[in-house]
Amino acid sequence: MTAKYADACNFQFGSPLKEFPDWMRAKYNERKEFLPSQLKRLRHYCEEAGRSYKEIERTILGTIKIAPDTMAVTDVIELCRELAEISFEHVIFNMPNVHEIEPIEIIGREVVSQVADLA
Amino acid sequence: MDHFFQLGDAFGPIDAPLIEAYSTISYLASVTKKAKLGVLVTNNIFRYPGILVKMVTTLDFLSGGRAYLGIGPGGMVKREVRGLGIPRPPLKERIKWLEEMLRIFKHMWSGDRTLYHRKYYRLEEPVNSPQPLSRPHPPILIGMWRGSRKML
Repeated sequence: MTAKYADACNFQFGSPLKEFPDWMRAKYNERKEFLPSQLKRLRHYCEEAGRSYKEIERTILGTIKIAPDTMAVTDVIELCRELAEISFEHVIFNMPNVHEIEPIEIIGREVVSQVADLA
Repeated sequence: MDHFFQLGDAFGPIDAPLIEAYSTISYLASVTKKAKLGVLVTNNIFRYPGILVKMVTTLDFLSGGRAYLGIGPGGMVKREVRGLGIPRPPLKERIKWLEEMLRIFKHMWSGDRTLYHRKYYRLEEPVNSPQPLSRPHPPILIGMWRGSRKML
């Protein structure tokens, strides 16, 4: 369906955060095997449908939290780097503490500048 | 996210304040100038296809071509579909509905107003006027938790 109809697709990497349910952490833990295999299959279906894989923007969603004792800026940059390596172009974060505003300022100031050129 | 109840667990209790996605981004369209506007992702069973085409088209039209259609077969909705009385078939069936819905989007966004009739949906006169400002149409993003053969 994605190969046939989509201009973009969105996968999920779950969450490393301990307050979230097991199935979200399981998703996070299996990301290095699961995500490349999904993209490989998508590439295969694109070939079958006669569609260019590169035409479909690969995006991914997951939940992170920048806070002391949770995740540091370097962890987030590392995660983006890892996802870019397996050909994701666009990473989207859910952030449970986003309403504190500071976490999103940190993303804008310290993460975006480091990851903008990765994809 | 396209939910009517908060998700429970670490996400917050089901009666935590939660405003509806499309109404919210329509409002955001009027207070922003550059941001793209879309739902990550629309649940395909929550709105009839023709209505959703009209909603996303309207959003694109009013925002000067900033809409995108994020869509998927939905999950984590048991409580709200029961709570609000929304019919919800099993995943396999929802995916079939979704594929037809995407056909209807393409059909109506191409300006074709002839009969659309397949297994799940029948639209006798699928008029969509105005058409979106985005050309050829707002981008379609398909979301999935686990990409099955059908979804990929």
